[in-house]
Amino acid sequence: MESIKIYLTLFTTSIKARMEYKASFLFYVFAILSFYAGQFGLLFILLNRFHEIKGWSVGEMVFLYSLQAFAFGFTNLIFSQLVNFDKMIVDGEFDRVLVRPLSPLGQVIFSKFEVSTAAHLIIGFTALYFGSCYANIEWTLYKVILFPVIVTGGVLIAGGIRLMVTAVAFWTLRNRSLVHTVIFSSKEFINYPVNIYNMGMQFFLTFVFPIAFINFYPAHFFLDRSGAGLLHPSLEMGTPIVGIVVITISIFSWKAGVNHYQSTGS
Amino acid sequence: MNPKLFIKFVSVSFQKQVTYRFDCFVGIVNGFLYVFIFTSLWKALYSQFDTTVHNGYTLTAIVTYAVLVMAVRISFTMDDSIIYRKVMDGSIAMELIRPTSFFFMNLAENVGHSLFHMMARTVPIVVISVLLFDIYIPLEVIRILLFLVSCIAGYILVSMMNFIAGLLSFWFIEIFPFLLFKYAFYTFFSGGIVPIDFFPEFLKPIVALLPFQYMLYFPTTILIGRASLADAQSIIVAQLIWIVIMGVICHLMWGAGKKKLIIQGG
Repeated sequence: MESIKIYLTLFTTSIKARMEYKASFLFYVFAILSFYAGQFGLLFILLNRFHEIKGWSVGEMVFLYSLQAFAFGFTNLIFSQLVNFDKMIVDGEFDRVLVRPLSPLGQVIFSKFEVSTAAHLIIGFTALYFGSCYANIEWTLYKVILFPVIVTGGVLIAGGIRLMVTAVAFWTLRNRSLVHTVIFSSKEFINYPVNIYNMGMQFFLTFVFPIAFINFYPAHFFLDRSGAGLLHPSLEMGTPIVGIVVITISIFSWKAGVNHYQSTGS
Repeated sequence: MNPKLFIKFVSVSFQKQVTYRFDCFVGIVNGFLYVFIFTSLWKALYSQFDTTVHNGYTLTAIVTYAVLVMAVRISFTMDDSIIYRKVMDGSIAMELIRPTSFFFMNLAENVGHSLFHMMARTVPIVVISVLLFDIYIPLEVIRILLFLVSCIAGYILVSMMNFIAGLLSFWFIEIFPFLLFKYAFYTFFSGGIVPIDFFPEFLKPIVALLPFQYMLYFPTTILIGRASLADAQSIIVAQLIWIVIMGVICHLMWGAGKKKLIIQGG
């Protein structure tokens, strides 16, 4: 119980620190929105010209995007400090974390919260609204209940991957470029329905690097699409299970990393 | 600026990059990931129709465009926060008292950076793509020479854009949102992902008023043979005009910025 209180204090302090510069924060949110608007804009140009992408209409593509925005928004909120984790190791700041009587992972995660999540949530809700309208989603009670479950599963997948690639820094020290590729660039894959890729890549994105579960598979369920184009129809409900598997593996690799850790001495 | 000195700065900046070999390997993977995603996307879009030519591009032409525009873009990789960091740590003061032009020193640093990315990333990515995808490049000597000239002009424009964005740190403490804006505009309007030919009519006049299409789109169209040799010459003239316009902006901002510069104690 006591440690939860400490975590809460860390949480509120980090939010307060970020909100110190309100104008800068708002401008930052606006810049992120413009970045995604550009990405959306290119998608609309293509859809305007070609009408659909492998059987996915504009509305369905927008819904696909909303699932992704929610998952990455919450992942950014919780796991943001992991992006710069190699710096904590190189600067020797991680030593400080180890001598405190709290879980190292908990401390690293709670040391910083990225408020840019606000931008992702704005995008997520906007995309959800327009996606629902244009794709005529029938929101049954079952779907409404499962939506947060699927988003949580997506956060576990994205967060787990982030944690795993972060843990690499325990062995290699500097791993910025790897973190950047695995966390940010790979996201591009699921901006589009995964069935545009060849079979090998679909297999990879399902079983090896399972980000297809963040939006592609569960979207079939919400949009009442038949599972015909999928590797297997039952995969569409796989997100929570895959999420738990990924986060479990990643916590083990993090722990292995902490055990392997030797201070850089700086 | 003395050409010998310029080359010296280029080589120092190049050697700095060579230090991170692992980063270089990850960089190839990262670049190829984008090539793979966009070629898959175009193939999927084209497979939906019986017509084989869309907006003047056959499938081979659009795949070639997607690969080469990414190749040019990766070769144009530069560190856009150099000036920001120099202002933050106060080393900008040293630059001000040096007898060499700050703009050209900055350009030299960028050139070294980019030459490295060109050799270590662009070349392998293009070789892999030529083996994997159906690509057609008309091999005419004059065309390739014109492409090189246009590429250098495009490179100078990108470098000036980054210089202008970097100079904003003379006025603002935080410039990351500006860099995000710049990135969004550059990605959208340069034709870096979708060639301008696919843009809807109402956007084309806006694109024509901006310098971005001269950075990636036009040089690439020269190489893939979409622009005739006569067109290529007028493209290069237009690029030179933009270099003059942006050069004046750089000069004026640098003059005003020097007076305005606030250094945070270093």
